[in-house]
Amino acid sequence: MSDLKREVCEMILNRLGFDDLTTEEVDFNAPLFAAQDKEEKGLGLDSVDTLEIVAGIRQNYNIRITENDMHIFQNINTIVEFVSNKI
Amino acid sequence: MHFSFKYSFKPRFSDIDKYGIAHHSKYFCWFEDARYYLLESILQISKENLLQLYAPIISLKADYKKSIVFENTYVILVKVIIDKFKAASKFEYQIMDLNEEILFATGYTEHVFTKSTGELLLETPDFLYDKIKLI
Repeated sequence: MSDLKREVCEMILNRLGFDDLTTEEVDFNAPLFAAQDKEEKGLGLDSVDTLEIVAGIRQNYNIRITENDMHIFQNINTIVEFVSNKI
Repeated sequence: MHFSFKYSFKPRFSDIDKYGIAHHSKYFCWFEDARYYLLESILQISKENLLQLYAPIISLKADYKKSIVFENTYVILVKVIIDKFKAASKFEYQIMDLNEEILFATGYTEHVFTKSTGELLLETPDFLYDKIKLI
């Protein structure tokens, strides 16, 4: 796992209060907004969680996310890829 | 960005419940009155902008310390916390007597901003920052 990938993931886990999860346990391809169902496929995030990630990326990487960038909120990999392309 | 202001109010007869004290739900109405006082009177945000910008509550709390009664006038001390690196903006409230010696309640509301269409804004609108800077 790259340093950036770990860093972005840690930021997301910290901001969203996933204190019991480590970066090693996270499924980077899990859909962000799908519910955490019995098969634990989704991360169960909501729109306010998106704002937390937006604020975190702005604070940590000085990258402003606009309405045109909303496609990056598919899974953690797509967010990492976006940050990687911008820095 | 933090700043504070005061809003005074007098409970209405209809705010008082059968126990002779203000009903717990009314505290949130007074919090709301204080917020609108901020937006309209202190920040002087136009009706046009207020109609286009919504600030729905995503979280709220009240801690009740002493009962509020009908006869008295009270003051709400409001602290506004708007941080561009936080998802939500926060209003913290303290309800006190007019001399600000007795604390009756504390509470907070947290808000995000949306367009009137319900579309979530990713950042606090610039015109709001600009207004707050002028205070």
